[in-house]
Amino acid sequence: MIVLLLLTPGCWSRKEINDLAVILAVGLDQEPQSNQLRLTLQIAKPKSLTAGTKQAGFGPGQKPTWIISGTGDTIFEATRNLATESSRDLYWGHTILLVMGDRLARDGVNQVLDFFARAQQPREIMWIMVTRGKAEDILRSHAELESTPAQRIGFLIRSKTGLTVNLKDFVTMMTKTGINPAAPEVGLATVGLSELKKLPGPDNDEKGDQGNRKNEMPPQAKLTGTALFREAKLVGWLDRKETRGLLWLKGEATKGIITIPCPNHPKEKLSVDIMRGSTEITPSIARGKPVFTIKIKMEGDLKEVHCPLPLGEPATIHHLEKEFARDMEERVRGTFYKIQKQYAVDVIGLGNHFYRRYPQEWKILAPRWEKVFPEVGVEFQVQTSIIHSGFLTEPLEPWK
Amino acid sequence: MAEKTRISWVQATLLLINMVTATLILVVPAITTEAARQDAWLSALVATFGGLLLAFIFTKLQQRFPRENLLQFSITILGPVLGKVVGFLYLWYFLHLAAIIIRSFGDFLVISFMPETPVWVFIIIITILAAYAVHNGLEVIARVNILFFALVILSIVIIFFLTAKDMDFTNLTPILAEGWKPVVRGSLFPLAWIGEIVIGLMILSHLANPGEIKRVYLVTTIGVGILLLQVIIGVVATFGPEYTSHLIFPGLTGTRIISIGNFIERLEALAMVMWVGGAFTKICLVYYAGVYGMAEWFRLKDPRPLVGPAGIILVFFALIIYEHFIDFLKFATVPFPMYTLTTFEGGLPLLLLVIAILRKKGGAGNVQKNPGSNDDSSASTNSRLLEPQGNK
Amino acid sequence: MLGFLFIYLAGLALIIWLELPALVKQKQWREVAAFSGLVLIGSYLSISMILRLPTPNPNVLIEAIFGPLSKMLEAALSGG
Repeated sequence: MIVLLLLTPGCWSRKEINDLAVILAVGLDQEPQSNQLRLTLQIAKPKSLTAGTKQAGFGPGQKPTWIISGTGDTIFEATRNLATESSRDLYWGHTILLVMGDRLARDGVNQVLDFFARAQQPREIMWIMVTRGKAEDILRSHAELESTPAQRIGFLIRSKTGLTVNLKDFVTMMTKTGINPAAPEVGLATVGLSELKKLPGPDNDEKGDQGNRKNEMPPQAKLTGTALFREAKLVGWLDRKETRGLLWLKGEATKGIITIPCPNHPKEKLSVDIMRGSTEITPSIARGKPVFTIKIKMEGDLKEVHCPLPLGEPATIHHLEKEFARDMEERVRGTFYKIQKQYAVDVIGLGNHFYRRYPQEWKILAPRWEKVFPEVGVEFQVQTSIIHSGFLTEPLEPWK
Repeated sequence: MAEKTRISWVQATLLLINMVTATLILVVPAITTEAARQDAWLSALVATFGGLLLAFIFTKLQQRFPRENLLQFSITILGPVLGKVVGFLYLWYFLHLAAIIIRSFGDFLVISFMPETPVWVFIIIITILAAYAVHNGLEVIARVNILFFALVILSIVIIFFLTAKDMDFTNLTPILAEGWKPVVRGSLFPLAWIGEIVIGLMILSHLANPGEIKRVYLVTTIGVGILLLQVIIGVVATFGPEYTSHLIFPGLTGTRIISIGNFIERLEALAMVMWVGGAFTKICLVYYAGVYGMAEWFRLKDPRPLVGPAGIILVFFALIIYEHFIDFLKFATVPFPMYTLTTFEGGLPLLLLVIAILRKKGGAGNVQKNPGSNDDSSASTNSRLLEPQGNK
Repeated sequence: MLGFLFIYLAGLALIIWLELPALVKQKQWREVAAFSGLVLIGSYLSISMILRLPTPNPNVLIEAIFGPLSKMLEAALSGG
């Protein structure tokens, strides 16, 4: 019989791509004097992104992105103010990154996140990061391998060497009981050497070069650690090593390297690359106080060995495994100590674990968790196993 | 009345499932999770169970009067005056429900996809389309629905699997931390929604084979229950109970999270397809029930002319029925279920059934499978297919 | 406002044109009556809406009747 035509909706809100200013990344800062929000947008320049291969060297004059910045009392108001500067409509549909300056973060982020979670265009999967200083600077940074800084940061995040937090994750952590949010920290660093750098040599005696060997590479974004929040406010930082500990504690680690001194030649080292891992947190109650057992298991491969060791013997491997476990445990303890004692923010979610096992008891504890958390007992059980050792059986040693 | 329309039990089941599901899974999870938090899935189970109870009542009723629809057998049971009163009340229910659906349809599209478009555009468009469908009759609606149903089910399943990697099932614990009360509170809304299958009582008189009435209702209720459960579990596992209750359309937001290999993204378009397909069927069905019911009520031979004017009335009601979608959600959490359940979806049918049993009206349950017979009941006469028997 | 009025009248005209002639021809007066009745109701409602006159809203009625009941139920289900 008659089959009805489906109406394909979309006439009023149609947006032509050519009319859009595609926002790739957004930075939020708080202005010191006025406490207003500063919104910095990294907008894609269409021409430069269509090339498949990257042209060598976007010189400082030709940036593939356009940065605009404006202020307002709310994000939305700031975008209205910026609309006067942008020749095209701002489009959030491809925004992959949100960076927040630490001043703003300390003041509380739930309000600014409301805009992004509520509006239809921005996506819940955009990455969230925090920086010490101004987010604006991060957006203005350079990207050597990618067309845009946003892409660079995106790749950095996906390498999973730090926390990977998108908007949905952050909001989930923030709203859930018994856990506080954490987000990766991004900073600027001069990374790599510029190709134009001149090497010292007999021919080079130009003035500007000997004592003044400035690296011409402009600063790029770099993952520098983790930002810790209590509910919606920034309270502290973890550095890169501690971040790794945090990843292990949260059970999110898939990569990492542990280097320990050789057992018989303490001045030499060996390294293990972590392949897989799991973390199990078990809450219990001892003497009326919450106690947690954190079991971490890691599997790794030997990647580099600097000392002569009989790798073929199981005893050696066992010993190494124990050493690695010990090293890991130290690190994890260190991170945990910082989280628990120094900052007293439960970013791992021990509270949440406790809630799930003892919901009634949690009801009593929850309002005071901030005070209780520094006092809870934690027992670590770290197990490592070394699976492979690469192509070599014994470490390389010159024939004696 | 054009009584020669016949639909198969499969068509009927798909119609009913689609009708309830598409809107159910988009709107309900937020409300249920707000009440029951991580135990929302338990609410889903409770609601399904309640749904089975309702389905039981409906089945028994329809089985007694296999060739009569709701308005007709109301008159049969209660006599011409009261029967008409009940009929009128049901017409009211259909109208109200239709308006709500049409409006939600528009709102969803506006909020989620096209915020600049005024909602009346969608309302008018969909009403016109539905009017066209209803004008063409039940069989057409049923056939179109098969297509939509396939789309809807496919979407649901695909979305579930694609979001699976973001799910953390520990979000569903602790179980029953707050006891049963929140669970029950959360189950009211889904139950009211499931109860909409009472509309089936307007179309099952057209079943090719009346012996399948029970099967239709059973499969429908269980099917809806499963889908609801799946969606609630999926959504709570992905976002955690707190965030879920903050979201207005958690199912939709769940679709937005999907990102496979940095390539497959923006699947919310799929959710839109699902919504349009399902809501359209629902609108058609309720519209159909309303119009054919009215024709019944006025003792008209041909309900089709009423489609147009009814459409106007629907548009009107859809536009004024509430100001803001969030108002609707608040209204929906408790008053709405109370209202529908006690009356149209639960109370009235139960009452009708009891009276029917007491007054020994209608063939009870002995519906033989006779697909060939053409028992057209002309309006408002009692049709006796079978020998009147005792209960069951 | 005028635009809406126009849309409404156009829709109304369309509906009437589609249905009425056939009905009159076949002398289905009952149908004509019902049809006209509905059209009148629809028109009244729509026009008053377009002109921003106060219009009845079913939800208000329902909340009035069922409001207290539902609050009781909610209280019963929330305690403890």
